[in-house]
This record gives sequence, structure tokens and C-alpha cells, in this order.
Amino acid sequence: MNHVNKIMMGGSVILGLLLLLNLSTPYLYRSLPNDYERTEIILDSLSDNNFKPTIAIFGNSKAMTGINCKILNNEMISDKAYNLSGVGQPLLESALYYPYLPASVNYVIQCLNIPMFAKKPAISSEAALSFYMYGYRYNENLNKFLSPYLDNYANKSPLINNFQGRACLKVGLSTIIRKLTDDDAPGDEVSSLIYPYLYPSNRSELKYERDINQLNSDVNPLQNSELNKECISLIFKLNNYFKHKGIKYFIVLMPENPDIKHTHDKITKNFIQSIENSLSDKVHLINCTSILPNKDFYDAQHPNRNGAEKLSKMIVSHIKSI
Amino acid sequence: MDREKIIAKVQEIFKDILDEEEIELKDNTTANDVDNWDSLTHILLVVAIEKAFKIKFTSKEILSWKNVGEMIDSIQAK
Amino acid sequence: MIFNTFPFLLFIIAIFCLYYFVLNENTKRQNILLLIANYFFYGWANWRILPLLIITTILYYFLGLKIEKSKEDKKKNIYTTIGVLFGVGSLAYFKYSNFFITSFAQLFKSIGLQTNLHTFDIILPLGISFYTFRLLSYVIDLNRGKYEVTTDFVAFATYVAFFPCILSGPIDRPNTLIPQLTSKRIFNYDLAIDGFRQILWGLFKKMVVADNIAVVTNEIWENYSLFSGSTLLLGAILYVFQMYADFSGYSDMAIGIAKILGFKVTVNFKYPLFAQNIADYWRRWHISLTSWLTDYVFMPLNVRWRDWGNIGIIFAIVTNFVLCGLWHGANWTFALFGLYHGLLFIPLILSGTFAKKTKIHLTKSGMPKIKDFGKMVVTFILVTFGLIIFRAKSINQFIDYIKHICSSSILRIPKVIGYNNVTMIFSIVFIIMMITLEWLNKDKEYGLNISSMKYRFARYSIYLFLFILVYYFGADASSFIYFKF
Repeated sequence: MNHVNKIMMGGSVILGLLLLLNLSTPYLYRSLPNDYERTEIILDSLSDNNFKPTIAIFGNSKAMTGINCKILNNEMISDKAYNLSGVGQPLLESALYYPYLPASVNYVIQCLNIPMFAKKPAISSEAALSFYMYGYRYNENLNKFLSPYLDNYANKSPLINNFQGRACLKVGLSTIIRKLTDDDAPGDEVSSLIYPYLYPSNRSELKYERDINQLNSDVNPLQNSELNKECISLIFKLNNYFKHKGIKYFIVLMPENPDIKHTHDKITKNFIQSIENSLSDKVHLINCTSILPNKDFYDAQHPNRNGAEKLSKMIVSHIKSI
Repeated sequence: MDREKIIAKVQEIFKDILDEEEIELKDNTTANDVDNWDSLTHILLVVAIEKAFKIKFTSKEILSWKNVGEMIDSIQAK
Repeated sequence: MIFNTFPFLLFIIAIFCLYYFVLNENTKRQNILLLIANYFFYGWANWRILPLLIITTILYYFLGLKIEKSKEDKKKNIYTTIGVLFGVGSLAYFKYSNFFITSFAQLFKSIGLQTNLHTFDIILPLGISFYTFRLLSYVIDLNRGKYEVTTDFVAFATYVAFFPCILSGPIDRPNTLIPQLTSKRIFNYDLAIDGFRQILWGLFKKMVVADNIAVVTNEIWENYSLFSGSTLLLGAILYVFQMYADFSGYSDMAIGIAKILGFKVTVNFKYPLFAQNIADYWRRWHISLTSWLTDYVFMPLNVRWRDWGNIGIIFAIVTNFVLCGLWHGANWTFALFGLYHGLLFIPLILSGTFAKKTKIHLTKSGMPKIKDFGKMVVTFILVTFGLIIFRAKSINQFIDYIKHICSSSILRIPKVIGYNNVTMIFSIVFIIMMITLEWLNKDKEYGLNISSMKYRFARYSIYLFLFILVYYFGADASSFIYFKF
């Protein structure tokens, strides 16, 4: 074989190998642990015909540790509540699940943090990638008002998605090794759809104080922020979407830790007031920002089991009052 | 001094400074051909040669030698 | 364009096809293609500074002709001096003006004088340190009569801006590269395959070894007051491997690409981590730079001060290395780094061993003998300390880092945050892979030069394994969020 042919053949082999590695990435991704396994659990449940929740909870890790569906189910006997929140789940990501909620759902509880209202609706590229890998199909109905934020994800070619997903091998192996060696690794409660409480051990006072001090020495992140109009308008559109379906939609403003000084300073108070002004007569708004004392928090951000009990009961009383 | 004698004397200096028994210098020998002869030992050789022949080279001369032959030419010219 | 990106891949495939299929054996046209490719490559990075490169090249081309034509030494010297001043001057301006300004301002401040000096907004032209050195060696060597002038402008300009090497070296001398440019090149299959192999090795070292270690060392350096002394120490050691893998990996890629085009570019690294003393180390690390400095800084100084015996050599070495340090960047840490290495030569100079070539003595099983291994470890420790100075942002930070190492927490198990601990473990595994292959092939040009290995199956498996590692672990693939618990 002359040299040109050899090079051509070598080039084709390399290309073929690259294609093989690329196309097999989703299978690799799904078989290895990663930071978005919860997305897979939620998507799988939503496509399971036997999954018939009546109350669906969405939000980020604050909602994971802060809302205990066991309590909700105890207080509302004829209802079935499920906690479909996830780490770092922003409003846009929760909205991706909405079209696939089973017909049994009557109430949707969307938990949001105050800082989210200052930013344009967005989703991280890694999160979008996980949706691709777990086989999510972008829904026509929602595309109408979600598409400006999701266009580059919804239209991305599978080859590029697969290429960007190649980190899954490293992340997967890292997660496995970490589970075997590290005490600080999260436990298996993370997969629960009832109460995915993240923390395996009790709060370390030393670390807690250090984190609080760090946050208190920083400036209020809301310092020069304004209410983001797109965020508010998206909430209105989602509210209408559920109205047409006869589903009651609640926006919960999640508790802030009073030990952090700027959560109750003027800037934050004004900001929360502006949220209420924009939303309260058009949307079911539940303001829980100040209902928990500092001992009901595991760390600077997340409610602990006691906090979850209080918060869950508060949500129940609001649902019942409608 | 004639060329043969110069080469012989220089060869002795090389053997001494570079700590090598087997060195044979010809006109076209360069640093690549001799073990341990590099820019670092080059100066030691130059100083030793200057002392032995009681001469002084200019910087430009030293830096312009391409091989042993040119070095010997410079010595002869002094 | 960085080598491991998609645009570059398209670029090199296009050049390869044009070079060998369209212009095969037509040296003049191949050189024109290379020149256009060089300027395209350089302009892609920043087209605004491309004119500077072109004008500088033209200037030196004519200086070269003038030097050759001049009959008197005096005239030759004038032209050479113009060349040297222009080159050094432009480096001083672009790279070091702000450094001089802030240093002077600080100096005046410390003696109580306020100044209104402010720094300029100067873009640092890419590759200026590299192409300036190529030009300087051209005029100086012409003046020394070591070389003949190049009348072929295309070949000369291609030499100056040779795209595989312009951004990060190796620094070729005119008499190694220009003759290759002016002679005929036909496709050399074995050389090209060797080039591909070297590129794969470079990709592995840069993307798998260096970039993964970087994740860990960056975290350690950014928050070093939070970590234990043992972690900081491990961070310093990992940094040595990172620097080596990064730089030698890039050089391997550059050399490999040049090989595919039929050029033999100068070797830049010869397994410096196996060095047995500091002199040996510098004969193996960034060889093209140290040999450049040796020929144009150390030698002239050494010749000038040769009557001062060892003191002369010491001064020459220290000056040489301070400049070497400063070449890397405009910060006092680099000067200190250079000074540190220069001073390390003193024991070697005084004992007369600094010029002696070292040899690695092996035991029956191919491992180094204890004495030699001990020397390697000592050299490694010295290099590690030097690289802490190199990495620090300021001399204060360097001192602070050392203080934090020397605390009681040096006995704890090294630990960073979260996932990065696993990245640390992976890095160590990759380092072991790299060192093992390099040790086994230490007599060869580069670690993956395994063409003499007997079984084709074994060779191809290694290539496949490295390929897969580069695909899955190449650190652009570190796009995972890290769970903040």
C-alpha cells in the first residue's frame, strides 16, 4: 500500500473512532453517576403512568431541604405531594418539566429565591446538557414563551451535545471514587422524591460561623439590582398557562437565614416589596422569607428538618385557604 | 611556532581541562566531536590556552571560531 | 489559534493538502504557502499586531544584507548594533515598560516621593519574545561570521514567523531552519508518522496531565491560606509536573507539526525531571532558550570576564539566569527566580563539576542506582522551590506561601475541596503514566517514541489508550459544576 493510501486509511480510522466515541456518549452519560441524576429520576417519574401526584413542588436545593412532602401528605390526606426540586434548579428548568406533569396534578408549588428575581431567566449549559442526555423533548406549547431563553439549547446538534458531554466519564469516575472515600459526600437521600434532605451529618458550628461571617463581610448582592422584568413576565405567562389547565400555581419566596445581616436590611426589604407589588394581586404569592429563626437552618442557606416542618405546614395552610 | 606543535600543545590542554584521555584534534574538529567540550568548558579551554601561549584573544575572535582549525589560525597569527 | 482547537485542525489539514498534493516538490511555492499560513495563523490571534511582525522582518532582512555587504568591521558592528538595539528595545517597550514604571513609582514612594507616573495600555504582541530572539540571533551570527546571509526573503520571513513555533517555541537558529527551507522537501512518510505520534504525546501531556493538574494547583494557589501545609507542599510538587507537561507537551506538538511538513525543528526538552544537578537540569529544560542565552549572553560575558576565574563565571551565570527569569515575564518574582537558579550554580562552579556531563547509572532491573536517584530527588526539590517563586504573583505572596507550608499542619493528609480531590488523584495517576513512559524511553527523542517496541498490537493499544484519554479527560472537559455543600 503506498503512503497516500496509508494516510487516508489512518485518517478514516481516526475519524471513525472519534465518531464512535461521540455517538456512544449518551449511553456512557446515563450509566455513570453525575450531578444531574435527579433530573433523570424526575423525568423517569413523569413518564411513568403509575406516577400520579396531585401536588408538585419545584425549586432549587433550598426546596429540597425545606419542603417535606411527608408532612404535606399527613396534613392533606386526600392529596399526594412530591418534591421535584433539584440542586441549582432555576425557574426555567422547572418550567421544562411543566408540560410533562400528569393530569392528576392540581397544585404546582414553585419555590424561588430572592436573588433569582434580579436576573434574566436562564439555565446552565450543563443542566441543559443533562436534559439532552436523558432524552428530553422540547415541548411545542412551551416553546412559545420559553424559546428566547432556550433556543441555543433546543436547536443544538447532537454531535456538539455529545462532544460537550464527554466530561461525563471523568465526572462519573470522580463521583464513584468520592462516594467511596469522602465523608462529606452527599448521601442517597438525594434521590428521594418525598424529602430529599441533602445533609448526612449535623451542622458544624465552626463551619457555620465561618460561612456566616464570610457572608456578612460581603456587600449585599442585591445592592444595585432591580427587579428583572423578563423574570416577572415569565412568571405571569406560566401562571396563565396553568390557569388554562385549571391548575393552581403558587410562587413561594423561600426563607432567608436571619443571621445574615443583609437579608433584613433596607435594600432587601425594598426588593421584596417590589416583588410583592408586581405579583401579589395577579399570582398566588407566599412570602416565607422571614418565617424561620437561625436555628432552623443547616447552613447559611438551607433549612434543616425543623425548618422544613414549619415551612411545609405554612404551605399547607395557604393551599387550604384557597 | 609551527602548526604541528601548536596542535599538539592544544591537544594536551584539552585532555587536561576536559578530563579525557582520548582526544585527537584535527582542523575540522568541532565541539560536537569532543565529549565534554561545550560552551561552559570552552572558556576554561580559552583561558588555559591564553596562559600557555602567553597571548590574548579579542572577544570577537573567540566567538567567531567555528572549529579547531580556526582556533589554531588565531593562535598562529599572534 | 491554539493547537488543540477545531479551527486549527481545519487549518492544518488545509495546509497539508495544499502543501503536498497541490504544490508537491515545488519548494518556492511551498515556502510562499507557508509564509501565508504563518501570517494567517498569527493574524488570527491578533491581526492588529501582524504589521509589526512584517515590518520587523523586513527591517532585519535588509540589516542582514547590509552586514554582509559591509567590508569594514566598524560598519558591520553599526548595523548589528542597530539590530540588537531595535530588538531589545521593542521587547523592553512592549513587555517591560509598565514593569519599569510601577517599579520606579514604588521605589520613589518608598523614599517618600510621590509620582504621577501611570502605566500605559500596551498590548503585548504575541510571540514577540520568540521571534525577536530568532531575529537577534540572525544579525549577531552574521556579524560573527558564523553564517551566510539569506537573500531569499520568503525563506527568511518564514523562518522568523514559522507558525508551529512562533507562539511558544522552540527557538530555532537560522542555520538549522533556513537551510531546510531553501532545500527541496518531499513527503517523508516515516517523519510524518513520527510527527503524528509526537503530537499525540504532546496532546496527552498538555490536555490530560497538565490541564488536570492545573485545576488542583489553581485552587490551592487561589486560597492557599485555607489549606494545610501538606496540601501546599503537594501543590508545589504538582506544579513542577504541570509546568513540565504543559510546556514540553506544547513543544512536542510544535515539533510534531513541523515534522509533518517535513522540517526537523530543534529539540526543546530532554527529560529535565531526570536531571542530577542544576546544570544538568538546564541542559534539559527549554533547551532552545537556554542555548540561545548561552550563546548570546553567557558566552560574551564569560569571555569578557574570563580573567576573573571562578568569580567571572559566577557573575556570568547569575546575569544569564536573571535575564532568563525576566524573559518569562515582567515581575520581580521572575527576577528572583532567575537569581535563585543562578546562585544554585555556585557550588557546581566552585567544585568544577558544572561542566561535566552526567550519566544515569542503572541497576540490573533498569531503575536508577540509589546515588543517582538521590541526586535526582535533590535536584527536583531545588526546582520545586524555584517554581514556587515563579508561580507567586508577588514576592510577598511567595514568602507567605512558604510560611504556610512550614506550619504544624504539614503532617495532615493533603486535601482540597470536593471533586478536586479526585482530580488530584487522577492527576497523580496521569503523572505516573507520563513519567513511566518517559523513563522507559529516556534515550529516545520523546516519551512516546515506541516505534521500536516489538508487538504492533501493544503499540497500537497504547496509542488508542492515549487517544481515548485525550478525548475523555482533556480538560476542556471539566465542565461539571461542583456541588457546594
